[in-house]
Amino acid sequence: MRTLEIELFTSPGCPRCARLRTLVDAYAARARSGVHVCVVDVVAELDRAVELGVRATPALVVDGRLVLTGTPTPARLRSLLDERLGRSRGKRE
Amino acid sequence: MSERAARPLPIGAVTRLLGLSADTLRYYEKIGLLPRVGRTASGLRRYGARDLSRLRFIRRAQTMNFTLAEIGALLRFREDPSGARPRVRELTARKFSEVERRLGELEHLRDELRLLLNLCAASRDGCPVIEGIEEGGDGSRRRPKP
Repeated sequence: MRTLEIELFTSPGCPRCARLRTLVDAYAARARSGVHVCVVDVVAELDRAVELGVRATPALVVDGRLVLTGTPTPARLRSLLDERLGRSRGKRE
Repeated sequence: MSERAARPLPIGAVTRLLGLSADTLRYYEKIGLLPRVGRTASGLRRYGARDLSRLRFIRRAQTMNFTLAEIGALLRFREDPSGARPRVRELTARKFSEVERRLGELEHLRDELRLLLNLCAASRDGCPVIEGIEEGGDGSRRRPKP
């Protein structure tokens, strides 16, 4: 089964990062399977962050593509990830 | 007033304008990087727009670590692109590739610094810029979450 690879780019002292992490964790818990979350310290992964186009934190990268920067509403995040998850599963089928 | 229409400048004005010493300007002329510069009736050098353009090119090329010999070849190509010999064209192509590569590196550096500045501006607990420069991107702090 194909997994949605989520990378959450955070940074030290970033108050909004914790908020987005909570939202992403909640989404992953609800999805139960097919979602893998990796929290990435942007300072430690500067090269990769720059290559992905990350300009600020928090930033969300899904399947190797930057999809949002900042803190979305829970509904917006759910819709965005549902769409990606559907696409991933669609590719598998 | 545009540089093209400006009056030729004395050597002192050029040193101030371009940050090159008078000795350097005279040396460039002596070794042929700069064609013989115009003179006043009393023999004082006067630099025209074309001279200033060449001097700016030389200065830019030097910041890219080109040798004076290479710069001479590049200037010949600049003067006469169609009549340049294959060796000069080949050198120019090689230098063009180097410039492209360095430009890519500079763009990456610019994006990295912009990201760090953004992080710094948004940080509540201080500025991670110094930490970023010290640590680099070795991936040692990547934390997979089960």
